[in-house]
Amino acid sequence: MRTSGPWLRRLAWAVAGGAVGFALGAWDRIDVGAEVSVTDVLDVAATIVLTILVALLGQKRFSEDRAEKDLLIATTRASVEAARHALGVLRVSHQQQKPDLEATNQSLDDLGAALLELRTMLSEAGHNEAFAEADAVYHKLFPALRRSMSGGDFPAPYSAEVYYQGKGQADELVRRLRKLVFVINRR
Amino acid sequence: MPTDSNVLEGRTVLLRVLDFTVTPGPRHRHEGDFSGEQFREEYVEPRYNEARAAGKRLLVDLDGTAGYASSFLEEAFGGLARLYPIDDVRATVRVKSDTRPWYVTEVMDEHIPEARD
Repeated sequence: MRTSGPWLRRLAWAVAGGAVGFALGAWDRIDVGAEVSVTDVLDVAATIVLTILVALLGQKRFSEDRAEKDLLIATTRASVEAARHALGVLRVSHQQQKPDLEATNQSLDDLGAALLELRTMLSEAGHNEAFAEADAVYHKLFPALRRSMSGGDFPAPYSAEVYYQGKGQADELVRRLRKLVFVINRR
Repeated sequence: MPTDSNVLEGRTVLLRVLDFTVTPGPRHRHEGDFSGEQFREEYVEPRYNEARAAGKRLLVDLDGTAGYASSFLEEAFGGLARLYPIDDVRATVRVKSDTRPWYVTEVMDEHIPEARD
């Protein structure tokens, strides 16, 4: 987790403290013998208020960006988990030499739904680069994985060729989804 | 108006896979229950012919089931395109899935256009 949020808050306090210190330090140089200028006092007060306000607004914006990225990354991770689950179903079916139609369909449906949600959220977030990648995964890799895992004859066990083809596609899907985390975080 | 579930606005013959099964199975009958082959022969082909004869479209609703193997969809729709002129099938058949739209893409962009003997 990045720590820029607390640093920004500390910086705001430091700036505010500096402004107060400057005002106090300059107080003895003000010609109070004559009269205190209300304008000068208001000027200092306005500077302090503005400084704190700008810092707080900046922090709020940063927190919102962070929350959005965290949500997108959590959604990406859900897709990765769904892909890994599908890979697990593929592996078990191959090891037992008996593809499980129901488990296969369910795992692929879960993966499709997760990818669709990710794609939709990236689109709504206006994250074009990440959306393009998620869209390619959804429209190309996912259908290819579906064909490998559920396009064959079901009583027959997966051949080694089919298994490794499906495994390669699932691995590639996971790898590209994981890269999305960096793409999302970079913006 | 009669509540005929197979007629939608008088221009479309509607077929729900749910009327066939909740748990679609494998490709061929000999592979297991509720196969794509059985669905095509007993449900899709009669409705397709009905739609063609009436100059209507056939809309197949895929929603509500426990999910589809790619082989089931290929046999049901690709198989139809192997039995009938592919251009007629493309012009007549539509599929819908509100919850899993990737099935629609798979059928309309892959299984029907790429159907081969």
